[in-house]
Amino acid sequence: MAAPTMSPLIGRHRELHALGAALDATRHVLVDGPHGVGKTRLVREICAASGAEPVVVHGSAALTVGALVGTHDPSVVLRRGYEQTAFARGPLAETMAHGRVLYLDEANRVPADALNALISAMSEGELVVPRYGRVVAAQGFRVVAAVNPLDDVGTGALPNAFLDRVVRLTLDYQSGAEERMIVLAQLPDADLSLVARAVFAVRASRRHPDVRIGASVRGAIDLVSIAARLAQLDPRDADLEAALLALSSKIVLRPGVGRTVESVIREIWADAVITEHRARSSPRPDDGFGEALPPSSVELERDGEDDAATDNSREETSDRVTSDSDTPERRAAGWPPAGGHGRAAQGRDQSAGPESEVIAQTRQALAAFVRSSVRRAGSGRPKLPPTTPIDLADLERLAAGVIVKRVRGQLPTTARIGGRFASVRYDFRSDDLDLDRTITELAETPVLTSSQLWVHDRVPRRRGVVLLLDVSGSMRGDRAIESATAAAATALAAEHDELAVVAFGTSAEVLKRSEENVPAAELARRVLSVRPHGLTDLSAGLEAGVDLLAAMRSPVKIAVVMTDGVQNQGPDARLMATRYRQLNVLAATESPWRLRHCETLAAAGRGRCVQYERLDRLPAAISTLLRD
Amino acid sequence: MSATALREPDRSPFADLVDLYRRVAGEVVGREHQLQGLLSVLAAGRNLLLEGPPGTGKSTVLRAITRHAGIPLAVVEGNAEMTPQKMLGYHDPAGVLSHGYRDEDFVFGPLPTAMSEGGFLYVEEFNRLPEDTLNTLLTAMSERELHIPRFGLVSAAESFRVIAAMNPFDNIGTAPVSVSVYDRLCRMVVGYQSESEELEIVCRRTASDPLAAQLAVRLTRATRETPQLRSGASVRGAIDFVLVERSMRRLLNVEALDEEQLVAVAQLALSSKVVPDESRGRTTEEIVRELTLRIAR
Repeated sequence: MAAPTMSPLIGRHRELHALGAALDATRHVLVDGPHGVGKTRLVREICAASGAEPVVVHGSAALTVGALVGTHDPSVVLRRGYEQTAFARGPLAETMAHGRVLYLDEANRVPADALNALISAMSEGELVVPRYGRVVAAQGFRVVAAVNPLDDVGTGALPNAFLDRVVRLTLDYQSGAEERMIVLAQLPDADLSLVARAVFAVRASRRHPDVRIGASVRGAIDLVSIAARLAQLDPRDADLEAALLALSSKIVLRPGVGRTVESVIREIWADAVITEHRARSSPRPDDGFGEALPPSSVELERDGEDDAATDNSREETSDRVTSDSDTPERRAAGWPPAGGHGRAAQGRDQSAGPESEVIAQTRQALAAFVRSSVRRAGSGRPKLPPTTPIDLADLERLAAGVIVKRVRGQLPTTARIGGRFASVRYDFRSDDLDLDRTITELAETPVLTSSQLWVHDRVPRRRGVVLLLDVSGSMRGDRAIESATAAAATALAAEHDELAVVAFGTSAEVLKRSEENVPAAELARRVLSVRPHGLTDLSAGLEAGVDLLAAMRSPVKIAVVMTDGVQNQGPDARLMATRYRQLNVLAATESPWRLRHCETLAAAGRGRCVQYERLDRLPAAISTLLRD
Repeated sequence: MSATALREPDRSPFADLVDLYRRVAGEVVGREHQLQGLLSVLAAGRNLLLEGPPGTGKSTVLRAITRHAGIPLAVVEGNAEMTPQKMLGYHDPAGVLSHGYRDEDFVFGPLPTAMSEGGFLYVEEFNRLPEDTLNTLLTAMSERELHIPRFGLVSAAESFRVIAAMNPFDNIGTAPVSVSVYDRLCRMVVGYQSESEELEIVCRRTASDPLAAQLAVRLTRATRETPQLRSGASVRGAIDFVLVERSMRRLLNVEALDEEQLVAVAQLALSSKVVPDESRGRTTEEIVRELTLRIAR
């Protein structure tokens, strides 16, 4: 393989030394950094220095064990059996035999079985290939894996067995000066002030308070090269248009931010133009462009903090109210029922107090929800006259029905058909031949019938799933509808799985046992009929979930907890989270610091944390969390 | 980060950008601004994501560009059956069984074909591609080379581009796309055309006059505006309406259709192209009838 012509490596001296030292000390390395930051480039540089290029392999579903380790030549096998000469080495066996570096890009996309083969090679220094023999690693064999920590789609967490056997090098974004040099190295004829503005813009996109993931230096390169072309066709505003084209796919906004990515880019670009102009007219002692935040984003950050403060105080007020309700005097007066969040009788609507306040809020939220879905402009006649008091139980049932109907339309069908790609015997459905497996079969029984054929197909695998819903005081009203939506989405997405559902507040209550066969609408109704109140004992909820999962038969177990990240009762939930094999978190909050709590909880449970922007994005978020 | 230095595309079909633009603009109705953006991105060697509802002329424009640029266009439909093997290609099993894995027996899938021929790979319904298939596009897009296990390396010719299209409002059967993929794409939003542009398109496609096409275009636009429908029809609905209306007049041997007949034509042309709001409880036929009667009067 001819060496690709490499652009010069800008900066990265510290990283080069670190990587060189690690490889020299016979360690395998994990390079960890966001996209576009130069991981592949760095590895190629180090290998170029030592004379031998790395063998590059990309992590994807196509990287099977056979593709990584090597395979036997089928024609030889069929004629003369599994001879030594029949084996063609794959990249892993090849690099081991010749003592070279195996560079595994997108390592978190590698299928589990290929990863296991890699782990054995890394730990034992040798590989046992069935029907071939041992492949021993020569001196100089190294594995360098690269991952992008911000990438949570189509990836899995790397197993501990792998992480234990590597040293980790983190690569962060480079400085502004270095990024400008990178752009110029790719586009030597570019206009310097445009380059400066472009680099400023991508750097600002990473710090902008509305942005979750910003653009890498690739965005700046794209911007500059597109602007040059656009200027030929229509010079008006070419730079701004180029910024929109280049950056709008590369910037991911925080959920719940009520603006478009285009408006963020326009704002950033305006700042870039101003800042660059200022830098040019008043030169500074350093490289002249500084790292100062543009004025508008500073204000925005302050606003964000205010929201967090008000959000917090609202939660405390509601919790204080409901805990007051449990005084002995109130209990003597006949309510609330001693069993915690039980089903409150409808007739108690008239009595004053926080309990009926919850009911009133629930009723209001449900009625508004049902009315909004029933009344679409046109006839202007809602089915639900606003003044007729309707039985709360009926309202719950009605709302549950609407929820399920909506969720069906919003749930990605891959979630429901389910399953990962697996190799199965030919069943007259898929015709995607798994050649390796079929040949293995043929080698043993060389009579070709349809039962000897193996094909790739998607198969649903039965898993054990538990959904944990926060029904504390803060999850009332519209939040209750969100919880019910989550329950309906889970029920539909986990149709083929064992499913248990728990509601927790001050204590945990099982809403659905795994043995029960409960349709989605009934499950949603059960969730709606729970009256959210009380504090949040997240740990108790998680504990109930662990027990329920332990009782399930399926080997693969997934838990999803829907919470706003607040826990104000019980021990630290992160301890309980570590007892899960995989605990994913559906974050029901817009506050950044609560989101952080959710993220740490998910990290403790070796799972993912996902936010949803609006109610109609919730089912897709659930399906993401249930995907494996 | 690409390890390969950016090859400035000057001996390429995009060398004379202004000329290519003029030729394509002459064929396509309206959309000058978007066409300029599109061509600039492609000429700059970038890959592109076109976001917008169906029927907004995305593939029409791409076909015009590839035709004038003299490069092939491969169209791939994104759906759950599009496996990585289908995208990359496969070794011919008969060949493998008779003499093992040889390069000659490898049948290129659409991705390596487009790469080696320097054509556009146009992926429709991009967000319906399974994640593992999407990943095969990653290195092709950034490194401009593709490593196929047991075959080897495929390098992209200069004019190879990946163009992805998706409808962001259609999330049935779609999956979220990973950030690594988005980082390698530029993005352009392609919305519906204006009323006069749609009128022009219908007239060109159906060889009819503006007066006849007006009802069709107004009706189609109404399907997009009414809240009773979750999504409306594109200009294809108007084209179908005009053609079916003409046929019906010929069949019935009349000068003009009456109201009921117009409703029937509208239902034929539009009812498959719109999606009603389920919680409303009305059928598509009822909604189309109501709209037709309102607009025809």
